Amino acid sequence: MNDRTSRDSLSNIVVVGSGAESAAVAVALGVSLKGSGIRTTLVSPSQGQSSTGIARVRGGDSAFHSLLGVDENELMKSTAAVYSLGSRFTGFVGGNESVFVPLGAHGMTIRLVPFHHHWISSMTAGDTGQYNDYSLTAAAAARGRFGPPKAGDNAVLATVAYDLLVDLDLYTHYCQDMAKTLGVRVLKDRVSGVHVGADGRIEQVRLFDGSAVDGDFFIDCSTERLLVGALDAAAGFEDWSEWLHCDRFLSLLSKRQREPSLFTLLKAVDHGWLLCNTLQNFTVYMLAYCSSHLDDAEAKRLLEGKLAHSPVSSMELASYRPGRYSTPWIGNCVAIGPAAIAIEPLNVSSLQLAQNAALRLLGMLPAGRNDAMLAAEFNRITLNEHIGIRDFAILHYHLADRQATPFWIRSRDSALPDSLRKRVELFRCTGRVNTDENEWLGADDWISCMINFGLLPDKCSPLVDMADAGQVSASMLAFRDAVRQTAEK
Amino acid sequence: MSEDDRIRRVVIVGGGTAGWMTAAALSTVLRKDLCTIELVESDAIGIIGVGEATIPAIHDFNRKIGLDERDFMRNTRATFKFGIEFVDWTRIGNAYMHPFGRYGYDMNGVAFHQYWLRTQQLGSDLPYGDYCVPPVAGKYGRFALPLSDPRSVLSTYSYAFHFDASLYAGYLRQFSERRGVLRTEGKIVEVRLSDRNDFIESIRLESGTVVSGDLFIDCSGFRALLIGDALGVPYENWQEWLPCDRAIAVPCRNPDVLDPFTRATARSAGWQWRIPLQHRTGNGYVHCSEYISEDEATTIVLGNLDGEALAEPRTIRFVAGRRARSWAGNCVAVGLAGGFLEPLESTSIYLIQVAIMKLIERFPDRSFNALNIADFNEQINLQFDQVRDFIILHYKMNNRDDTDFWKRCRAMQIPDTLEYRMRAFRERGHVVYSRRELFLETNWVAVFLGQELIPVALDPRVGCLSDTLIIDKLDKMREAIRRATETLPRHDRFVSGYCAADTGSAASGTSSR
Repeated sequence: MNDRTSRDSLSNIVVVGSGAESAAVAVALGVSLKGSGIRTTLVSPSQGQSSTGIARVRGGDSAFHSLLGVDENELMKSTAAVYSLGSRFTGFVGGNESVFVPLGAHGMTIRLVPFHHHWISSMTAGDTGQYNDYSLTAAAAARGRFGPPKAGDNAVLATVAYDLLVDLDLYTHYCQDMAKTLGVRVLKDRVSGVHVGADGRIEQVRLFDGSAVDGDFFIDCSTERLLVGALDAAAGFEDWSEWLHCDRFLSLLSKRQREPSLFTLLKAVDHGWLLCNTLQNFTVYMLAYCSSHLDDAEAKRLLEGKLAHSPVSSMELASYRPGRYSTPWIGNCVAIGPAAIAIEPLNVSSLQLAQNAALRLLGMLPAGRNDAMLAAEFNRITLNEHIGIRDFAILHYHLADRQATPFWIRSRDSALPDSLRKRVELFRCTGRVNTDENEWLGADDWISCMINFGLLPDKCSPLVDMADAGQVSASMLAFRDAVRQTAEK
Repeated sequence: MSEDDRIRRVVIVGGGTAGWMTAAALSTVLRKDLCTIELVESDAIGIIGVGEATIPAIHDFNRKIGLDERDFMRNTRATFKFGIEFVDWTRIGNAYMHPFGRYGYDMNGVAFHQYWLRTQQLGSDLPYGDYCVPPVAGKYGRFALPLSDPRSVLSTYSYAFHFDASLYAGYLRQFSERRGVLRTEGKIVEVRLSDRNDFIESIRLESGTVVSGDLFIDCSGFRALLIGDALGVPYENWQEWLPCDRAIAVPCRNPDVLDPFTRATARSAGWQWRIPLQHRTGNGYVHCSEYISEDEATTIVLGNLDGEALAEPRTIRFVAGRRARSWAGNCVAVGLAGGFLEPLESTSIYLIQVAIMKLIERFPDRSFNALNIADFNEQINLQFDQVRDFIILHYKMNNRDDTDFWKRCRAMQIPDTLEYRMRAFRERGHVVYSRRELFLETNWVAVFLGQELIPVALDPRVGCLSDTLIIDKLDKMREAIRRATETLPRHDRFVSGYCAADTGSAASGTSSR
């Protein structure tokens, strides 16, 4: 076994990136390596430059925030955050109708059969209410009432799930400040060069101020792939633009326009979608669109036209190609967040993916140079996660029935990737969704989206008919009542 | 859904553990006025019932079908089990336990085994098992149900059962018959297929009775009458990794101490199980016929009993492997018809239970959707393959030089999936596992370390705690476990207070396995 003092041991980790992702990774390393003698350095330009203004991250049982040991209320205050219990999609399906896709589970298992089978089957039988009547999260969102569940709450209350919408700049500062108190060195500078040794491993990054930072392990959270790009510029980019057509992202902040809603507001527009949410400090407008259908100047005019109040920031435009890199961990460098994957934040933010990757990486930090298996395993899990995220985003376009423009028609009609096609087909014929644990979204999320977007299976479990119909409807009614009463309390 | 498509008749072929577990579970989800369940078994054909030892997953099955634990234990003369002790697997004289319990506790998000490995680097020679309740309590034959208070170390383990498989099948038969399952006695002489030979239409019994059905469950054991003989689904042979192909089974009288664990002792050409029940101890020598004759194997097992033999030794022959597909057409194989893995990790009943639960999740209608079936097969194969790898690990990592059998096992090529897990553990103590699978991090670590696969490097986060602090914390964990286990009652006393079999009926069922 290696002794700790061995030359081969891990001693200097360098994180590079300008956004909240790098700050999140740095603080996670800071917490986890405190006292170990392993030094973490974050190289990040002075301003936490976020391209989107806000990001959605898991609230409540967030493994990331528990690792940091932060109190959620305090975190929300520091990052001007609000709760998000799900997403309201307007104009995606049913003309200009809105559908609400709540987080968390619906209903309960009855006689070993998952709830949605019973609900779908009973729809034809009579008045069983909407699917979301069986989601406390949805009921709370609809009533504008919410408090995070506490230990000892009733079983229905424990089904609530929620995200936080955080101000990315504030979140970046929060993480950076915390990282500093944990002993992470934060250098406010940009990377000017990377020194790769003869063995193909990064040894040093050089900064614009002329200094250099040595390291034995590197984490690249930069959009430009400043570090991983030096190791392998080609690095197997997998282009997803045949399924995901948005390639521009525009964001703008305005004065606070209204009281925050308890959910994320997404609206389909002719060539993409628009998000509008109010945080504690401002209202953010974001537009994702396809540049071959809408030019940037028109997009800017479109976004400006949505503003009800004066802007408090300049308009920020990010252009990207949707896709991922097939080898996030190469040599002694790991790509996380924007360096690993580019995808519109329809369901999952880049920050959330970076948090997931950071947690994963913490369990796989190499002890020295011998890390081939850790890298293989990290890459395997990360790629599975990314495929799930991609497929879930594509699902929304696939199920959207908005016919107005070539963008939506093309989005709907694109052939699905095999993994998604298989999943949708299995749902259609059996009402079931299998998910892998490495996916960020679970079966509940998939089923919630499919049903609320109007995709119902042709068949459900035949066992539904084998259960006593009276007992089932009594259980369903009791659950629905419990949801309503709890939401109104 | 259309009523015309509904399965109206389920036929279960074979009445051993698999058959009656299937009947019991299906009878809780199918309404007998809409769908009949008929189980066909022959009194002339014995049941294998090697799976007398279970793993904690059985609780899930019992809960789902609504079995009362005490009643079930009383009726099957069950004892408790909180692990499997492996004796002489690394080298003669060495033993470790694969327990149903947690070792120590994780600190700062870092798995306990990393800290234990650090203390080994620092010169400690305290065994890994000292930091886990079952191995410590097991040493003294003590057992009690785990506590629910998470602050107590006595909440850190789980348990399973040893029971008499024949009695278990009988118990589930009563349970099923009360719920309307029909039992038909008779030997199957013909399986009638549809015109295209891909569906089973009916089976004909020796008596001439024809039993037709919409869905057939093949629980006919190694014979695989339906899935194998009739439908011709191939059997994938795994003997290159698991060469053992015979077991000599013999029950004996109980020793004075009733151990709360299964013991698997490596012998010259295989291993011997020891499963203590309330009324007897089950024993058997799983061996490879290429390396030892049946007579020699019988001599060895008879020479290694805790008490007087209670029956003539019996030989069971098998081939490790599984069906390429457990579900074909309208036939689902459950139990040995679907595959066989030696009972080294007591997984036979678990694999039955998984097949049943996955069938319930995917219960078909008469259109027998191909995607549904493919999905079932994928899930079942994943389970079998993982258990296979876990068992192979024990053989691959042996350090015995005394026989050719063990040398061959050590030298064998192993499946890539296992190689991957072993390399990840060796590299830095990292465990590759999936919550979809049976064996999780703690299981893999117990066997990796038990079989002396020692990582060459540790998680660098271990360095966040000073060595003296780590040593101190581990000492305290060890001491807390030692003290807590001293408060536990003897296993035999606990069993007699909790679920002693009614001795009036103890005479029946003792002779059959």
